[in-house]
Amino acid sequence: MRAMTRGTSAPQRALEADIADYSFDRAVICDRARTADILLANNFHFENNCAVLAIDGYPEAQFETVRAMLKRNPRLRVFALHDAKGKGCRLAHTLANDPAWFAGQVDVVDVGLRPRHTRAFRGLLQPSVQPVTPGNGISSSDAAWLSAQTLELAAIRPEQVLKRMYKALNRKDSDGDGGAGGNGGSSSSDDSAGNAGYAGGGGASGGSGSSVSYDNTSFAHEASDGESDSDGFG
Amino acid sequence: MAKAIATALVDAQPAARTTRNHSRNRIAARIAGTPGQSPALHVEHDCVPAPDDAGWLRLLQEGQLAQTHGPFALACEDRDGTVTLARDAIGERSLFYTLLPDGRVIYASRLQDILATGLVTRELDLTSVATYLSWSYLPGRETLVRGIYKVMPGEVVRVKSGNVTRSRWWSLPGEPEQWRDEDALRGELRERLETAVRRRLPAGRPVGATLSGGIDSSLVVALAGQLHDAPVVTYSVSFGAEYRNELPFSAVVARHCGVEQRIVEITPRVVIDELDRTIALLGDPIGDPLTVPNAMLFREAAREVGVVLNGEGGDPCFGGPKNTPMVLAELFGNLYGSDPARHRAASYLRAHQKCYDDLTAMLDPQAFTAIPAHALEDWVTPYLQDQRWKSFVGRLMSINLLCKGAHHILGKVDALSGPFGVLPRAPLFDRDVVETAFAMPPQLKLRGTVEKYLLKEAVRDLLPREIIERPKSGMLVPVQGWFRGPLLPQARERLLDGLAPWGLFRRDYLERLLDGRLLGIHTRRGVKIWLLITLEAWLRGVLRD
Repeated sequence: MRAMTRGTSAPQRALEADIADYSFDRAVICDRARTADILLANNFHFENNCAVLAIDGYPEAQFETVRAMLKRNPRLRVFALHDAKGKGCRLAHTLANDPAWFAGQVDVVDVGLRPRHTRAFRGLLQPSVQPVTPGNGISSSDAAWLSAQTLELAAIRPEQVLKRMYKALNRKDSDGDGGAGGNGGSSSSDDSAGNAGYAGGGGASGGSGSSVSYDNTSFAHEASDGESDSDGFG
Repeated sequence: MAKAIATALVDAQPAARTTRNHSRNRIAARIAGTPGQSPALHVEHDCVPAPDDAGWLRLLQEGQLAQTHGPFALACEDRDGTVTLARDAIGERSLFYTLLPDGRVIYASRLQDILATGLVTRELDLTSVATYLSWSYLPGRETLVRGIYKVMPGEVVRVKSGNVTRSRWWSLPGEPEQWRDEDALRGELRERLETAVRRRLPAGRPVGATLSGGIDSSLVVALAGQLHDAPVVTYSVSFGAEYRNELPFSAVVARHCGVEQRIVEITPRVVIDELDRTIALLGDPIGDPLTVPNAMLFREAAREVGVVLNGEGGDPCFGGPKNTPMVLAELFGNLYGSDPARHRAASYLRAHQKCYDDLTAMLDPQAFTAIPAHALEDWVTPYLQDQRWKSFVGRLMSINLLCKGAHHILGKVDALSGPFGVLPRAPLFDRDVVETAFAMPPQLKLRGTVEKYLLKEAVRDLLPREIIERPKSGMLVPVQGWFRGPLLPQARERLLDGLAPWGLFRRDYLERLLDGRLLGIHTRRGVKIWLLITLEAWLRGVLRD
């Protein structure tokens, strides 16, 4: 894994005008910049043809440009990646319902940490600093759990998070209409075993045409890299 | 020059002339460049209409090579010792040369024939090795053998008394000041596609066509089916039932177009049995896992047709894959303070998904330090900064055409078809089609996330909707599956016993690669093993031969 080396004085160059005219097949929206940085520092965006943003406006220089580009693709696949915290567990709901994001346009898959994922990480829980109310993407039982404790993605090995993300993106593509595929050329052949796929509902579906589904697969599962037999482009 | 050419017309010996017909007669190795030499002209071409020798000399002399339509490689020896070498615009035929210490030049269609003269030191260019490992082919003038060069597409090389001058008879047009509207471009493109296919059809005789079921090969088959006055026979690859293949798509197209389909099954056994023979045909190694399948299709087609159409060129001309990852790299990649130009170059190299990021780990330390720092990035940077293209994707397309089109796709097709005596013809690399492609705004190539948008629109009426709208996947080859199972023992032998002794690679890297112990999330093990067994076969079959 690469270390995060985000600097504040990176030399910037004006982007060519046409760059903002295109779009992407997929986007991962994170609840905090630190998580976005894990993906970006490891070239996740480049390997997966996937935009990466944090909901609070990171990376700042390209944030609005990228968000506008995403809205240009009506078949965009959106993945929400977050901590097991109140704000994080509402992320997918927000993305699916906020007009500034994707309300009524595209469905969102919640691939973040939720209370159901935390059993394997009991020793890493932190006490919660504020109560969490149910609704807007959080069930009553989850609200009770999140009011008592939290778990940050930073507690999990970045490699584990990345592998799970690779699998999540590829599974979604193969389950759907094929999408446009990533640039990795992987097929679904290695991705099926032991995964529950996406469960819809969960008490948190969006109410305005965009729905939310949940990736219930374990964060502790030793995910493979999802490489298929057919990884050689002609 | 003019006078010398006129003399050549009179003096050239018949035996030294090429056939005037479309031919696969390669230009054999010639040692030339001595004052007083007998004038001679050697041409390998597939031009329509076909100039005769006098015609070729006039076109060369008057700087009118742009009047040609089609592939050619040409060499002219004048009495004053000048040697003039030229190649077609896009790179459909190959021509290599090297200078001898005494000022003479050796040239040939095939690099192997230059080596066979015994006058060239068989020394590897280590920067070219790193380039090959990163690109999977050699994208420029340099070859893997130090001192042997390619005549570049669209170029005229003149050598006199050991001095080399280069000029261009064709260059890819830059972006126009103003774009024409979509309807006009679509209409022009359709017309030029039809002309390009028609020009390549052998009147009254069956024509072959390779068919993957992707948009590019499918549209060529559809147009050939409509325009040809004799049967069209298509050839498709199957990798066997246990691996993913594209036969359902190609079968739909063949049925829709009413053409015959032959399926050539490429098993792992065939791949390994044919690998050495196939790679030995390549002047430059090309680490594309389709080399053996391509050769097998040509072999099969040669049994019943003399001309094989293909759909090569759609990606580099019209907006294929790899553009959006590069756009993402531009948007996100420079958050960490790297030099923008070098970052862009690194992203471009990384986008090939080969061994660019592995070079430090894989190359022997001595070999690695012999390669100038940033040599690979600095090589590609001028392309990435070329101001003839203002748009980012337009610039990427130009590099894809000039590098991948000319040095990978067409070089491969040329080298692998020749031995079977078939003429490969690529309508999407037709010069007029290419010029129309580069007169299109990049937003009509990559429209949102839709690749090759205008190309698809131009042929929408010809093909089933499921073909026009099918997601792009590239032609996938099951290399990972092959090296997980049936071909792993051969890969182990070829890398550890065959490649390691060359001293180019760290043995521990090769072992970790074979054993699946490379670090990282996506190690692309199959692709990397293929790249290396291709190199090993090339070193053994071409360099050492």
